[in-house]
Amino acid sequence: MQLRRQVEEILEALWTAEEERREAKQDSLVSPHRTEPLLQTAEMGVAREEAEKAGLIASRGMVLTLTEEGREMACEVVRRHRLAERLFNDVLDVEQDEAESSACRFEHLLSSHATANICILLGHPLTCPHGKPIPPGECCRRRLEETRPLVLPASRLKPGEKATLAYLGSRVRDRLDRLTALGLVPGTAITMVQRRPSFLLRFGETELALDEAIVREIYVRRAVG
Amino acid sequence: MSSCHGTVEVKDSGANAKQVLLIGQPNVGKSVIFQCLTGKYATVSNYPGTTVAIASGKATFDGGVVVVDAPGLHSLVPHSEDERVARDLLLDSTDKVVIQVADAKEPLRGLGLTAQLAEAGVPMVLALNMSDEAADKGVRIEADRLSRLLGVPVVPTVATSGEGLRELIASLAEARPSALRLNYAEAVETAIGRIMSLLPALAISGRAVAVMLLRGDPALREWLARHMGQEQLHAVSMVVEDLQSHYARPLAYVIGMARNEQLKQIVGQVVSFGGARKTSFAESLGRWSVHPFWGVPILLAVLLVLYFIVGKVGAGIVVNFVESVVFGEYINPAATRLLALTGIPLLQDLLVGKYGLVTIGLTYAMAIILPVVGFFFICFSLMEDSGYLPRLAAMTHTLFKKIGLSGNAVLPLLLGLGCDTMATMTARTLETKRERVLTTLLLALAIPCSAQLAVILALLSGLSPAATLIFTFVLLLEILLVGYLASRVIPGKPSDFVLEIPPIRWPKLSNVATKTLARMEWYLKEAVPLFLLGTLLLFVLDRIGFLSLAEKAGAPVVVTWLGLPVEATSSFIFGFLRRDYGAAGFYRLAEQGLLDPNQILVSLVVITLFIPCIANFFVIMKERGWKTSLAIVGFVFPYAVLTGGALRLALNSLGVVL
Repeated sequence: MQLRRQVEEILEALWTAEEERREAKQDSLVSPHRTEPLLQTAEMGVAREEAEKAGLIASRGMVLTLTEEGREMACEVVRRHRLAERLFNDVLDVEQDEAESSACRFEHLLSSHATANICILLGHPLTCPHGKPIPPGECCRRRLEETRPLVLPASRLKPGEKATLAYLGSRVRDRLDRLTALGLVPGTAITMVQRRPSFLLRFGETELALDEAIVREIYVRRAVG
Repeated sequence: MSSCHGTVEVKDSGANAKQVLLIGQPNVGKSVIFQCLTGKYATVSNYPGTTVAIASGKATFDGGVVVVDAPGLHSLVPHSEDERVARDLLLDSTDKVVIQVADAKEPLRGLGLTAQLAEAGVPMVLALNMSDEAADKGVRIEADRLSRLLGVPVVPTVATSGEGLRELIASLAEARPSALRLNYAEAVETAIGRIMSLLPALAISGRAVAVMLLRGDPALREWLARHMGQEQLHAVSMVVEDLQSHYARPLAYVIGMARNEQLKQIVGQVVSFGGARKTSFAESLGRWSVHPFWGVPILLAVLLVLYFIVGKVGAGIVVNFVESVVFGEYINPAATRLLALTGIPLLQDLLVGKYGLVTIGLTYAMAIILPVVGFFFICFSLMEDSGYLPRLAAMTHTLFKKIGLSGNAVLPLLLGLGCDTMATMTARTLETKRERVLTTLLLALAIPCSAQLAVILALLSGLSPAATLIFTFVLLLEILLVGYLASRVIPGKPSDFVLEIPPIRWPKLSNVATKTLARMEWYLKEAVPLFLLGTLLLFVLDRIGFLSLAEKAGAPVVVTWLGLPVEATSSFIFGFLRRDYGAAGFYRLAEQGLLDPNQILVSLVVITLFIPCIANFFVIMKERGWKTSLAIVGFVFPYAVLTGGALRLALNSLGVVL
């Protein structure tokens, strides 16, 4: 449905503005993925009115804000978008631009069930590839014991457990550079040697002592069986 | 080292270059190869970061060639000061050949650096070192095939036994830029081309510089600013930013991934892994030593052995013998008798008097400190060469994280037990300024160096074990307390704790012996002159009556606040020069029965918290700048005195009599 999609775009833009602590003005509101003002067309104007009527957004003068209900819905949209980005970028290895445009479409399509499954599959990632936080969903809060996610932070491996490195979730350039220079790259088979007193990973003939914060950013696929 | 001199005499290697650079990742054995190629001593240990500064020496195989040993380098984009020193060697010098030393057990990682050296276009050969360990682990590399793929000589070596070094030297004649060329995504290649068109002519290939710039290299920009205008530099930044906007990940990662993908193909062609391998005893030992449970008793056992050998045997038996028998019964009486013959009272006073160069300066340095330093360095070398030290850092990381430091700082702090001055230089390996300053402060304040430990152990071994425990407790408390408080005050974040744990290796006794002797020699050269100078200074001060003035002036602090006899003042004056010298003064006072056990403890704590020595102060100045140095000094001395008085009050109010 076209209208719903447009309403979601507005909600997403307002959420992003809130996140970046910007004031959202009617004439200058932009989508996080585009540069031209969002509310230019008559169609979008209708969508904005609809959203206001439905009690999702409120306006005072030129300034738009999310209502409680609207924020909840926006949160879901943003969550779907950023999870989709992670999926395309890290697991499916899709080119950056394509991943972006696909994520823009997916954010309107995914059911809540599919979203939760993607989140579980990715190991409840904390940030999108651009480093922005992914709002946690119900599945992240529950984190059921029985779920065996496909991709998970290495910090959740048990001592002695083997896994394959899926991707490095860090955004810190120096950290990425150091880890890749040491040979921690996607596809590397790693073993969690021990978790205390500090994390010890083994790969190839190398043993590495690491801080927990770094291990949490190393996403791995568990070895089958 | 002696083991390899005989084997590497190849005349006319044909290498036309004036300089041979040893480049490689940390702890791959560059310094061992350096020793073999030059016959010069370089410290060799089993932990990453042993070498933090450049060493150079004339090659034994060709007199005109200078061999340069560089600190370890993970990649051509440096993350710490020592790495930067190594990288900058590649940037500027022309007329050089690189020997890349790689760990044969980790071919992919080694090739990562090879690829970057290939990009740089420097003539090189590749040494696959520790090929014996690689063979034990079932890692087999077809050197000939790899050599054809890279277009440079590839030589398997075992540097510690000299194996392959003759071939390595011979191969220098065939050194050439590697033909290996990595390709990146189209957008990256375009950006590289655009940057290259902006660069001036440099000693290193433009492509390598472009890739380093894309990976983000602030140090390189400083260097480039000397070679090109601000405008072009700005244009370069625009290209980098523009490319980055196409990628969600930092470009360093994008480039690293592309490099790894292509190198994996090469590794797949020339390396085979496998062959069932048994876990050796050394490996199990390594595992236990970082085990959450067994690690603790192992640490205690190590400390106990250390205490027994250094404290009981070295500081107890040997010092006793050298001091009371060799010096007390022979040297000092002989010197006294000899000087009595001259009949010159001034000379007698100068050499064998109250502040005599022989009876005080030389006796302290040679009789009390040297034996213990010797025993300590033997034990310490064993710990360094076995690979235990990085494991200790891994064991204690969590604790140090609580005080705002990381396990990275543990290694320099432990090295401080050997020599605080050297350890202050090792702080270069730390990635953030904050961590370097914190480590320098803790080293200056609370880590007693081997010479100091010598006197401390000699003194404490005469007291009840409780004194040793209280002393250790106070120092550990100071490290944690000051570390915690300082980490709140000093801005910045702790650096990433990523520490490679080398395999446990059985120390080679020849290396332990060489290293111990080299360090004792260094001690004799560095400390003994200062001891004599200090004694001379005191002699003069005593003569001109300044000493009694100082004693009067210092009385409120020394006598009233610290509760020590007025004679202790001169020991504190010694302590400004070298704190071990100051401690030796207390040793003498204790021998004369002027200090009770409580006073010994208080005086030891105060002198230990002093700045280690003049040399250390100069190194702090050099490494950290005068502002930081003055701040450290301004804090340390009052704080030491404050702590000593507080300890005295605490002992008194608790009614502790040792």
